[in-house]
Amino acid sequence: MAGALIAVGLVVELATLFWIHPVSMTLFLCLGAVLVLAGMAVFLWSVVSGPR
Amino acid sequence: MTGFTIILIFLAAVTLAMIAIILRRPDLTASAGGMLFAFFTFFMLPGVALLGGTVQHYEQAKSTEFCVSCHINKPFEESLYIDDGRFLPAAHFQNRRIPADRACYACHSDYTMFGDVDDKIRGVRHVWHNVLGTWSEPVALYEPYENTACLECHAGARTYEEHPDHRPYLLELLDGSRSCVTCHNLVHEVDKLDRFGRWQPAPARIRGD
Repeated sequence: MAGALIAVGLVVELATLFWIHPVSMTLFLCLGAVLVLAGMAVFLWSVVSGPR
Repeated sequence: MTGFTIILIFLAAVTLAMIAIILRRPDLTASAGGMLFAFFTFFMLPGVALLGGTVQHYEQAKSTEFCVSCHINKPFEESLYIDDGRFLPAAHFQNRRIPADRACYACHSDYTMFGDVDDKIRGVRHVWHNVLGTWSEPVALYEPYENTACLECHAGARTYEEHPDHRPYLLELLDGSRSCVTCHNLVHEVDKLDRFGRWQPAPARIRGD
């Protein structure tokens, strides 16, 4: 789950880097960054909530 | 493509490859070394890529290309090419008094990344109206133009401070009680563009860009 979120977020980030436009920046912040941050949060949650 | 963009692409590609490795071999993360590998894959590298992407977008947002990519700003770009030195933006742009690739940001630098929340909401609203084509004209500044943008470069310059038209008002111009554009009042004038000729810059290969 974390891997999929981060992978999609990074693909969005890469795509927006090649388009200099306010829409691109908005997509990066509202979609790419949110997906990557969500993936990182899912990973951290799985680490702290996993079996010891 | 800048070197920084290439680094970001490389970083994202490495992260994606590492994610693929873990998805194919989840048992790798069972060991302490594997956990460290997962930490880099799912936290450190994406975090660095995200930070780098934010910096890159922030820098791109200062470019002239970024500002004039919105349809409503096209006439403002055109106003930089008016063939009349009395027009403030045109004179600055054509004589390289401001960087050509950051022409808008050089004078409208109060639209910053670290502005207040209202600025951010306005920015998103501008994007929204541009996409839907629901903007209203004429385009106007939310606040009166501040002298600080002009004084950023002109303050301390001999040609500015010793100019006979400026000398009586230096203090007022400094504290903002008198606006620079009171006298320098030919600015973008986008509703009158058809009345003026256009400056044709030399091709880039001759200019040495």
